[in-house]
Amino acid sequence: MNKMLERKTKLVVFVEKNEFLVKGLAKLVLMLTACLLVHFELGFFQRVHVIAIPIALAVIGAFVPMGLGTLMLAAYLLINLYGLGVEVCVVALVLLLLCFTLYFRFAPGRSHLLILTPVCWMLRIPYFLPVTEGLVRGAGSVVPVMMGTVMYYYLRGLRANTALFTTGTGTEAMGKVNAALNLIMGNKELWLVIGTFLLTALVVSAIRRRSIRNAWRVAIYTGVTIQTICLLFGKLILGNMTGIVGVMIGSLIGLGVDIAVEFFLFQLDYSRVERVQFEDDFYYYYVKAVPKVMVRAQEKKVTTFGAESTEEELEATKEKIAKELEIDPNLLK
Amino acid sequence: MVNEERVRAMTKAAIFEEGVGKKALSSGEYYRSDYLFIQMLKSFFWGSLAFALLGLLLACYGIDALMGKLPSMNVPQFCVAVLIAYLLFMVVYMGVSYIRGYRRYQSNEIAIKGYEKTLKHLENMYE
Repeated sequence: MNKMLERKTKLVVFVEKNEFLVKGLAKLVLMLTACLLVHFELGFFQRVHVIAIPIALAVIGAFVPMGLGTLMLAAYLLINLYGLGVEVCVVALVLLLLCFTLYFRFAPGRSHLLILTPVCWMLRIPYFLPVTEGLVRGAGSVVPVMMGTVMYYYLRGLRANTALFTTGTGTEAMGKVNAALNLIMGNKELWLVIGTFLLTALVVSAIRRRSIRNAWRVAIYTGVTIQTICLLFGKLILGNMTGIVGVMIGSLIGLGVDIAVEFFLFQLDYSRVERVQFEDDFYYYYVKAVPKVMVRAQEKKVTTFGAESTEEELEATKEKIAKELEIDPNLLK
Repeated sequence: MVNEERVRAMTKAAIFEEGVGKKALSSGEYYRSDYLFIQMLKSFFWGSLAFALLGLLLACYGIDALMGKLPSMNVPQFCVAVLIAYLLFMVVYMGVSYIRGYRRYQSNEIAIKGYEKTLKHLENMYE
């Protein structure tokens, strides 16, 4: 355990020293994954179906603020959806505008979740997101995860029903809009997932704020359990048994990720709890202080044997010893 | 000769101005009531847009049912129902906006006080 804590400390120090580089790399990886997924899975507009475009967008996205990167990705997505029809594009635009007006206007710093959530869904590992956000930021931060889930289900539905939107004339525009909206409004599984994520985040956030022992660990286990049970029972009730194994495996992976998050952010030593009481002019304080587990990274000490010191080094050493002993340096010659 | 303490204070002030201070100092130009009024005004427009978009989506989704009910619909009653829904939505939306604006102004005030303390300390060093 000590070795792991040492490695964690070294990693944290490395990230702090190279924050700009690490952030840039993380943004590059996220933007590249998202742009390439749009290119390969949703590349409906042939005029922009050039591999250089998503790569260029990802590289630019690594250097600009995340909000601007999200905007660029949204624009690229809308252009590609235009290939399916202006109706599909307009519905996606309205959804994105709703995301902005309802949430990102208040908390623009969380816009990366709008990209990360669909990417995690595509990689089949979305279940750690509500628990992690509930732990780290609180229940309110699950809203962008829910919005990202809506976008994912919409895009997945478009991909699975491409023929529905590519045939037909302009007079069937309302029909296309209806079909596009039905991918969200009529999708009971989507509402099940969104409700489950919200419940999970609320429970995790509520438990994590309690002053109980191992609050984070209890919150993680409870959140993952509730999430898995709700999803499995929900699928059973809806009569859609596909993806049950995926839910269970995804939940286990999510559990692993959440425990890793706890390891990095919240390591406490409950064996050295201190309780103190004191007062000021206004209040009497009962304080319980739980120390964080800290391990300093071992510094390498190099000891040389048999190396010959120069005269200057010897003189400096003698002067130092003479100063410490408060005697005349000439006595040491 | 460079005064280390002065450089530290100036660096601290500069970091604040370049980072958190950009937004904090701009909000510090307003009284709290004026700042909240501006936030509520912005929220009114964005909230109205959000309601319109939601209404548009719902109307498009239920267009068939809506067209079927239109001949026998009590239009004034329908308009009143939409207005009530709009007011409820705006109350919640602007309430959230008010709370966020209030908390942001409070935290900006504290940050600006710390910045002013640093500037005062710097001023004293020059005297």
